[in-house]
Amino acid sequence: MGKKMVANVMFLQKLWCIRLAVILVAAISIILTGSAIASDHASTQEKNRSDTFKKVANTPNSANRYKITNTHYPIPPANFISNKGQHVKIDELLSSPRPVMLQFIYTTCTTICPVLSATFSQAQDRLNKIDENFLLISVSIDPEHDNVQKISDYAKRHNATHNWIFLTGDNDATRKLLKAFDVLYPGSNKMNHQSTIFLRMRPDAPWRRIEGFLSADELIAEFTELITPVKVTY
Amino acid sequence: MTPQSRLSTFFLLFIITTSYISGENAIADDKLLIGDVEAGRLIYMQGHSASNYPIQAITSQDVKVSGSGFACVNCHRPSGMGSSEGGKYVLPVTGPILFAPRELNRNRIFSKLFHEIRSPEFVTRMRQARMRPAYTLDTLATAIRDGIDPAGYSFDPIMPRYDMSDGDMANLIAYLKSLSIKHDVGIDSKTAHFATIINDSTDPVARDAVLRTIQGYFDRFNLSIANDRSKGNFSPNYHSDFLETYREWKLHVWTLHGPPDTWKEQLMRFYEIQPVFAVAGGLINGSWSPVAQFCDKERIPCLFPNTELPKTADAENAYSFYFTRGLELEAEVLSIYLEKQLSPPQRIVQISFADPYGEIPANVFTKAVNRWISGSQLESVSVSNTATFIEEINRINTHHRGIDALVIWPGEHVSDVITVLQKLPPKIDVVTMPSNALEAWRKQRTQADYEHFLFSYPYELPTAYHPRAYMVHAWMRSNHIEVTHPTLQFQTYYMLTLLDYGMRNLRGDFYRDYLSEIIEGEAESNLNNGTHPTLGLGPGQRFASKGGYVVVPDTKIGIRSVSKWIIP
Repeated sequence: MGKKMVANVMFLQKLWCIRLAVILVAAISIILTGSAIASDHASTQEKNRSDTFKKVANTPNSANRYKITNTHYPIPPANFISNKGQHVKIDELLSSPRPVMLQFIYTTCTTICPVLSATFSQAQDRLNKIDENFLLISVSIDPEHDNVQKISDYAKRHNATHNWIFLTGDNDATRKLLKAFDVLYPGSNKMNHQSTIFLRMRPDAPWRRIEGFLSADELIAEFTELITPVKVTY
Repeated sequence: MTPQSRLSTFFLLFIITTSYISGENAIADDKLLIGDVEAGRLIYMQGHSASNYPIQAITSQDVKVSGSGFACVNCHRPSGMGSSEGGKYVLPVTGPILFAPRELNRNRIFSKLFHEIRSPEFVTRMRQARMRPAYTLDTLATAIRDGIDPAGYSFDPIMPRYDMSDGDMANLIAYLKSLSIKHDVGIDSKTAHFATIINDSTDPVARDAVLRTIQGYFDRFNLSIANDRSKGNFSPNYHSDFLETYREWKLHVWTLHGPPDTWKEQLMRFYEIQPVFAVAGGLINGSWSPVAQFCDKERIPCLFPNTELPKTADAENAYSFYFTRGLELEAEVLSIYLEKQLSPPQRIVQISFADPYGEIPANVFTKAVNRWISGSQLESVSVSNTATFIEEINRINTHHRGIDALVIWPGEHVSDVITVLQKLPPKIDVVTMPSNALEAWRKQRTQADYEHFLFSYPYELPTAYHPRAYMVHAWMRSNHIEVTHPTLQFQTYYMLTLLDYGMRNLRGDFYRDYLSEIIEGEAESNLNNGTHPTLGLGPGQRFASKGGYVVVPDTKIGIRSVSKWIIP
């Protein structure tokens, strides 16, 4: 009887040991699985993260995001007024020997123009280091709304320095200039205007027409390439 | 407790603790669940975090931007329904749309595909059906921060990649979830309710002309949708695809009585009885300001009323849309004209009647002269009735030497003023009046023998050619609508065509802000029927025409312009 009781106690102890062993194994496996899941999750996140960066890096390259053509545009005589209130003859301004970059904007534009102007804004300091004679020009395509006060406020919003001039005119003058640069928008509705920047080195040089969006780096690169004399090797 | 049970408890706690630690990421995700809608609105509308610092972002790959200029509302608009501009299609970002998988739903992009003139690049992009699963809180945060949607597509580089903390992100997402989640009032499954607002002191003949134009258009519109509905699956121009989005238009004429300071209360009572989706124009004698305040309070688009006294202060992004700045614009146009025509120094006498039609432009003229005409001497006189006006004219005629111009704001006494001027012609070389005196002048003076009487004129000249004017005349004839007040009726027709276009292009997304946004974009598109040289708006703009002429009466062609189109 006594042996039997001892045997029973030993059996119960063994049972507890088995129970504990099962719990231990289960716990370890849960922890391992958990950490495996966590690690898997982390590695998935890491993977996603690296995919993310890869995808960001894989955004369409410059060749796809913007198109470049080189063309001569005869500039018609037309009168504009600047953000400083000065009267400007556009044909005279664009015959300036200074390297010029020109864009069309309007001050209540929400999608395209803020990006175009922010790109000019960011490029200003670096352009100054490359050639301090550069001239940036933003022409309003909404002249009836964009009076001198409005373009002046817009210039301040984009931290324009002395090398950046903003112009507004009347409907006729604006239309003439849009037509000259071949950027008339469909439906005569300014909401349909496109993102285009024009660069030129000298008055007699062709305009480099850039359709689409380019980064500030790319704008600097285009400008630098434009003003760098071509080396002729014999 | 036995040692065994203590051990078991230890293991159990251990497991729970480790599970908690491994679930840390899930808790981090949960942070996104709680956000403050008002703080999110600040980010969406102004680009500022709750602690009022500007949110930073990168656009166009490396261009650093921040703050209100690049707040979400700029492109995705107050409704959150997105926009399209310059070949870029900006997607809607309302909670119901973001947190559902994108489906091939042609109706949502129909107008952009077929109704609007777009560049080939834009059309190509629209036709690329990019599906995506529903956003989760995590994937939406990734989209906003890194510009990647849940299907792995990168957004266009001009979509800014925002550098936002978890807290700001939670707030923004809370706001997006609340944005345009249910249709605005004033529209149900069958009917869209619109009001037009008039007041009892308007000319009854002019009022009838405006009302019959509106009612005629409503009748015609309802007939056209009944016609589409009667044809079942027959689908000319895809109309049958949109039958479910059609609503019959019902017009409510809200007639205001008594002084303007009681109008707001009267409007509230009308609105309580029957809420309307939008206000379709109207005719108001007096300032539109009380009505504009009502429109802003209830966030109702109030479209192009016939008024000479719009609410010009804080008009941008407000809920009232106007043709022009009215008499304020005319005062500025005249001041610019005088500045160019008269040699300095100028001595100008201004007589204004003591009512809103006299005082408001007189005050604007005074400011404009001080701003634009340097060295001028302006003498302003306010008169309260015709007798005192006669006294002033007699005084001026006695001491007319040295006065270069007489500027008259006849207020609500146009007819009396013209009669006085006919009997007592001022001995001044240049006399100006606003356009609302032109008709009375032409009626009372059979001969245009006073070239020195000039009128500001913020409308198109009668000699100008607008092809759409012929179409509208034909429409009026075919609908038996007599044209007695061409300017009022053609302006009203323009308002109705914009409302029609806007309502159709909501395509069932019945949000008032979205209607306003469509109208902002469409106002410039070839709907001008000749009332003004150009009509156009832009995001936030509320005055469709911005300039005016200075004209003289002409016996042959009615009026003749003596200035270019002047834009102050």
